Amino acid sequence: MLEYTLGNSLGFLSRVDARVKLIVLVIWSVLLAVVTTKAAVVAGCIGSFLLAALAGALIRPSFYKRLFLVNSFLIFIWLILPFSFSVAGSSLYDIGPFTITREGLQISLTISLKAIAITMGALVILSSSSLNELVAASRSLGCPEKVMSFILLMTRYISVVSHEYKHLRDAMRIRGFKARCNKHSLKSIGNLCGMLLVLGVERAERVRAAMLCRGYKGHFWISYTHRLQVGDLFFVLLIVLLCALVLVGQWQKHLL
Amino acid sequence: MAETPPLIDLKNIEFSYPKGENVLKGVNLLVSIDDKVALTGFNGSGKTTILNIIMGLIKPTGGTVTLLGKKCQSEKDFAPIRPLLGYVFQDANDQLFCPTVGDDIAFGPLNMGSSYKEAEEITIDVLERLGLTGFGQRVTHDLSGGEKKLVALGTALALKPKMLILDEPTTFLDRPSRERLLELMGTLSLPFLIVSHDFDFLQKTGCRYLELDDGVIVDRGNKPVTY
Ligand SMILES: Nc1ncnc2c1ncn2[C@@H]1O[C@H](COP(=O)(O)OP(=O)(O)OP(=O)(O)O)[C@@H](O)[C@H]1O
Ligand SMILES: [Mg+2]
Repeated sequence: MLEYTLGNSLGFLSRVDARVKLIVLVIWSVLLAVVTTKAAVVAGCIGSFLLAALAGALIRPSFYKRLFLVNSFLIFIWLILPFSFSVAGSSLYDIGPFTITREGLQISLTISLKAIAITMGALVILSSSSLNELVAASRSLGCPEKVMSFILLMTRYISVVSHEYKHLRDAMRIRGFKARCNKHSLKSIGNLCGMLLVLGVERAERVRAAMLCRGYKGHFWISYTHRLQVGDLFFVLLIVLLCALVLVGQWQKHLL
Repeated sequence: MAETPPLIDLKNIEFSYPKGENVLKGVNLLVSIDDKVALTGFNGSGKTTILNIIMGLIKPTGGTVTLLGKKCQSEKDFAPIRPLLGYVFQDANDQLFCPTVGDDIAFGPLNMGSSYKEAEEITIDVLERLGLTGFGQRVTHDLSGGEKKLVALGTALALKPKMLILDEPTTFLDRPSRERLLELMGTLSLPFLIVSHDFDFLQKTGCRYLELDDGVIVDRGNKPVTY
């Protein structure tokens, strides 16, 4: 089954207003993306790590799994960037015709730390709310209704489609189908995909019909009913503190 | 006082899918205000098609549809009447499109102009009547097939319909759930039109039987023709 959240008991974070979380997340991410000094980046990492620790995410294996998944693209950066700047940069090592440069390493490291800090923050903050809540909160912050209903319908039906896929796949296997690299396999898998699309379209039509039967007039009813509470203020204060830490890292030369 | 018009009145309905032969060849169907009707017929005889025509989801190639005494032709005619007919689809996954059960049941009342608070009250009340108290926050795709079916019925009940139209309501239901559905239909005492092959279930509702045979409806009275 689909799992949106890391668990219900993500400490105090799961009780924070989802709208506050969304706003805070945007500010935190943008801030981390634009800072330029090493100290600021490190401060950002510490901040996100602190958030994860406070939320109790560090003891959950799924947290690391997700963190790894979203950051796996960093591998490509490490494969390419250290070898760049070979003309302008100062060389550290030579591997055959390639040169690893100091500047290349530094940039790779900065990008990686930034990416990890931002994704860690996003993971912790977002996965402490249900998707439902997040969508409703985004809606009340002014995101377009169409986009939001699209996300809602997608999350509702992705499991239905995956069930249909499993059924069809099992039905094929029962009749002795085994995926091999030949024309028959390719054709069968093509049919499977085509069938999934057809089923999806038909289902979409029936869902629409069912909605019409209940008086649907083009309006989705997504509402966010929570009220701001004192706990939200503490969360905001915490983030303000972390942001201040990052800003100090950014301007330490001017400050000291 | 004027006589109350029948809930559903189909006259000489004809229908064929594109490239297919005629599925319906002059169907007449009358469901009056306190009727309990079962519609039976072979697989593929066109039962679901009839229900879709009643709801105005597909247009018949011939004949007239009159609902609650009003002749319905265009989308504009059908739209206000649909919520009153309480149609429950064959596959509950088609009907339940919201992430949580509560949202789904509230959807209909909100469409009809209820406030969020009223919709919430209706939701709680409907869930209680279905014996699903506390299911409001449950995630729909985690429900069992039988629970989904009951919730789908709930989404129709939330609209306070004048009747129920159920397409194969007992598939996926185990014996206790079927008993609960029966009991519920008893206490609601709404008129209904049920498509089902579950004669055991139908018998207990005390309905009259219509059979769709080769594109026309045959009245079978109080005894079904089992096949
Ligand atoms: N979208 C469609 N396009 C073409 N033909 C269709 C379509 N839907 C149904 N049919 C055909 O119309 C006939 C009636 O279908 P319908 O779904 O109304 O049958 P049914 O009585 O509800 O069957 P069941 O008991 O299996 O639910 C069938 O022969 C079917 O093949
Ligand atoms: Mg059918």
